[in-house]
Amino acid sequence: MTRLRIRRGVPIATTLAMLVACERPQPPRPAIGFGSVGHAAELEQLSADTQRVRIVFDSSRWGDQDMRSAVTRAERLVEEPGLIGVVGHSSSRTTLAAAPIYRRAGVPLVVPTSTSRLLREESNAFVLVPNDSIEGGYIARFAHDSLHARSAWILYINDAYGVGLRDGMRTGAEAVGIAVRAEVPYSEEGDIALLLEAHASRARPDVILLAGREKDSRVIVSELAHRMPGVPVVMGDGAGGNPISLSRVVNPRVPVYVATFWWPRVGNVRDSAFVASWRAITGEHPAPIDALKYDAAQLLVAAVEDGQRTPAQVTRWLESLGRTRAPWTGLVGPVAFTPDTRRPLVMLRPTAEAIHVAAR
Amino acid sequence: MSLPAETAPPLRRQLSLRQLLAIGIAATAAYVGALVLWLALVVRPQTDALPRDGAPALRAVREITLRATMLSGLMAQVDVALQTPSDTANLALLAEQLSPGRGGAVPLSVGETPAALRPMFARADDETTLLQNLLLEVVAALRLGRTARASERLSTAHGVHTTLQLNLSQIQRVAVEDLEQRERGVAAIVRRATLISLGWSVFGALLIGLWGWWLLRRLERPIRALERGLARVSSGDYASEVPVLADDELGRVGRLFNEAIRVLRVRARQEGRFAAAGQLLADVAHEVNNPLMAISGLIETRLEDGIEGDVAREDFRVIQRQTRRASKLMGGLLRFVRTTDDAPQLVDVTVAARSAVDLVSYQFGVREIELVDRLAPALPPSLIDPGRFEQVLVNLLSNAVDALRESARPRRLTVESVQRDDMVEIVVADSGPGVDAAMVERLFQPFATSKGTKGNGLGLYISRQLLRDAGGDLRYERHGVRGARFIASVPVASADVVRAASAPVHATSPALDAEARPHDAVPALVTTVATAAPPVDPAGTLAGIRVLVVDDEEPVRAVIARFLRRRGAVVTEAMDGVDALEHAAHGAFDLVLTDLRMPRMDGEQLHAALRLRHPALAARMLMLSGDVMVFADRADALPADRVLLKPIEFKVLEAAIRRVLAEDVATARAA
Repeated sequence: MTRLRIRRGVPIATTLAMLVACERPQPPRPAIGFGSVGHAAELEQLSADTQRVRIVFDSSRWGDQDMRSAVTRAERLVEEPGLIGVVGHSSSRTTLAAAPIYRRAGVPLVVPTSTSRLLREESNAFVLVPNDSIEGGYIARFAHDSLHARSAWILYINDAYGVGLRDGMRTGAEAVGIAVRAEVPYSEEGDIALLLEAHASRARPDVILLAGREKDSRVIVSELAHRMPGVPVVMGDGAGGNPISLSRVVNPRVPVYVATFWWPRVGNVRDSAFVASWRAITGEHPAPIDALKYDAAQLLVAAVEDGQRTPAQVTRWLESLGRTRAPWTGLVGPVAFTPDTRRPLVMLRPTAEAIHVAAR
Repeated sequence: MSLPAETAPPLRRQLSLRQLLAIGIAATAAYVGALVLWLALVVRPQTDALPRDGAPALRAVREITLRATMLSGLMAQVDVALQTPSDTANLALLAEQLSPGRGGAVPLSVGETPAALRPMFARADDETTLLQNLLLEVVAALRLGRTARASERLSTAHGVHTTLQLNLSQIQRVAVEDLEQRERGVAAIVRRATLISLGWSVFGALLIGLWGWWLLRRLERPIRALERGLARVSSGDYASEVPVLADDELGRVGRLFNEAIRVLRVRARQEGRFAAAGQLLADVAHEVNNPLMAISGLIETRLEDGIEGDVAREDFRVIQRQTRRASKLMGGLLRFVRTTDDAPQLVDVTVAARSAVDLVSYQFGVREIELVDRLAPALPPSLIDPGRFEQVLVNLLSNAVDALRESARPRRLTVESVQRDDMVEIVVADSGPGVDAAMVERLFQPFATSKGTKGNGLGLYISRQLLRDAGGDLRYERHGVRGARFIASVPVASADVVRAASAPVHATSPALDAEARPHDAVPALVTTVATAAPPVDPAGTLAGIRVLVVDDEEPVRAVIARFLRRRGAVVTEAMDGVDALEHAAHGAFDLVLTDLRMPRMDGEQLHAALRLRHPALAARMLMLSGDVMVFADRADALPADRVLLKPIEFKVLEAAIRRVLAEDVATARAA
């Protein structure tokens, strides 16, 4: 408690009021929780430099794709004093599992990368990226327009992300006239080669549409290089975690394309600054997921800077973007949460030398 | 106009009863509303939340159990397929069944479930996905003919399946416990809410009871004061007033009650004075009418005897006319001040108006007031107490005279009677200054007067009340630029009433009838079909009729006796009732003509005594009185047509004597 010297003549009531004011506990600094682990520390360094917010993340060793971990992490985060919003989680599956916990706690959830259209049913989820139906349609249209594909196989990981994107790809392919000859589900821990071999008797497709993640995408490209060399593979955003993983995907016998939501635009000051800052902290080029997490965090920081101090206020603030407030501008462009808001999509073409932008 | 000053103690400012009731009702409503809101907004969400939060767990249990059951079935088929790997169609079908369908692979809504179940559900969800993928791989291996690989993956799948089953058992146990716990929670909340509601309801009932008790206490004192006041008034005590304690509704009622008491007090005082004046006037009338009787009798006798000289004869006639005028005025005054028993009768309002005009007419000459008589001669009768109606008209006429007194000439007083539909109206209009505009509003309220200390402000108020009691009304209109116009209206009597009253009965008001018959100039207010005096036959005589004349005043007795003897009657004189009884005991008489007021034994006592001792003679009695007041109380003892009012013209007296004798003869023949 601050020691006060009581001057003669100062009314006692005033003094008591001051004492009470001094005794009153200060409200906790607004906190932003991270539902996923990757690069949280770096993001904290980037996002919390104003000291106006705290970045809270779970430093446990649990993985990002584990549903149980996501649920436990969400339960811990909602107990955090001063929590005004959460960024996360890393996958559609974990985000869908954790979103109700935040909803019940009244905490807004800004979703940077999860594409499941089921998230639209969560009233407190504010998704920065297009949903799997749009992404699947974009991939199918690219395959048709740029690769002139007429037939395709769809390989997908058997979870919410993979199945959702498969549906989008299938619908998109039907829309542009690509015949889907096979749909092959797999799991990360499974024997992907066995599954591909089981479908080897089928007709060779013009293109492989892949809804997988970094690790299994690399395995699949490697397998396809042996089984169907030359057949281009167009992957969903799950494969494009970071440039290193993209470079690992590259195989000289398989042309690879990866759909993602952000890639630095040449000459864009905001993108360049972010890339420079990221490189300064991590020594690496930022992945799209990093930019999206950064945007999500910055969005919540902007809400706090705009005077929002409670989860309910932040929720209303996010809802008002594009309605009663101007859209907030981030790395991915103007951010709003109205039904007609367009989300950016970029098609990358990683090669051994570099990562090119095939389409925006 | 001046209102009586009244000094009242300062009143306590309090909430009015309406405000108190409104506050009480509002507080009760708020209390009940708060209780209901508490139940709806606090308790209900808790009871709703418990089963609502349990529902996702049940849905998740059902979903994961369904998935596990389906995978168990598919695994069994895969077991079979391992035995028959060559059945490619079966393998293709299994691959199809194991592939996630459109919109499939929706993760469990783990976040919706209770915290204790979330890890188990998450693990079960992971295990079902893993089991599905393993079975897909088994089928893929079998389709490639790699039985060993398929067997190896199937073995792993069995392990996952076993773990899944264990996990499911645990989930079901925890879910059931969770459900039971929620049920216990709901029961506890309901129990607590019931207790709290009951407690607050009892507390609220106590509060309402306390409030009601306090309200009753506040009401009790003024209501009791009002009760006591009303009891005193009903017992005739107009002196005391109720205490006005507060400026609320009961205070206002008390104040109005006191106002009413003041009105009653003034009325009672006025009526007392009026009654006393009436009694005094009756006594005076008796004393005046006796000399008038003597004078008029003597004059009549002298005129009948013949007087030498035209001047002297004319002087006697003037004396006779003035005597009649004095008698008529006295009769009107007596009628006006007589007490009334509030008995509605058929009244000719025009006649009543003329009678009232007669009463105030003595002022017209002095005040130089011109009377405009527009009274209609033939209007249907109205059913009203004649005395009260005359009182109203005299009041209006007196007001008009007062108003005209100070106004410039010409001073005109118009009296008009007219029938409008089923109402008869008497209009009294004057050319005076009229009623002040500020006064018009309060004209008919008690104590509103423009006469200063001369008036008590009750005349118009009472007049209107009297007319309204009779179904009529009194209203005011401006009369031209100057002047006032008061219209007294009374309803026309219905045909039934008129028909009933047209039966050949005697006048219902003997006093009026009796005093009317001796004086043709005095109109009867009451419309009656009572037997009128038969025309006097100048040629007839009373020869041989034995008349006992009883009067304590010798001049009156003497002049009557002289007249009767002249008409041939055999007259015996008695100085009072006792003397008359003495004569009756020793002599025979055809008729007794007696005064009513006499010392020792008055006319009524004489009548009673004769009824006992000489009933036949009692039936042949005629009575004379200078006081009409006697009839109000003694009408039951004395037949109305046997009482004559002094002074009386001898021809009327003779006709009355003949009628009595004729009736006696008729009665005897009938017997």
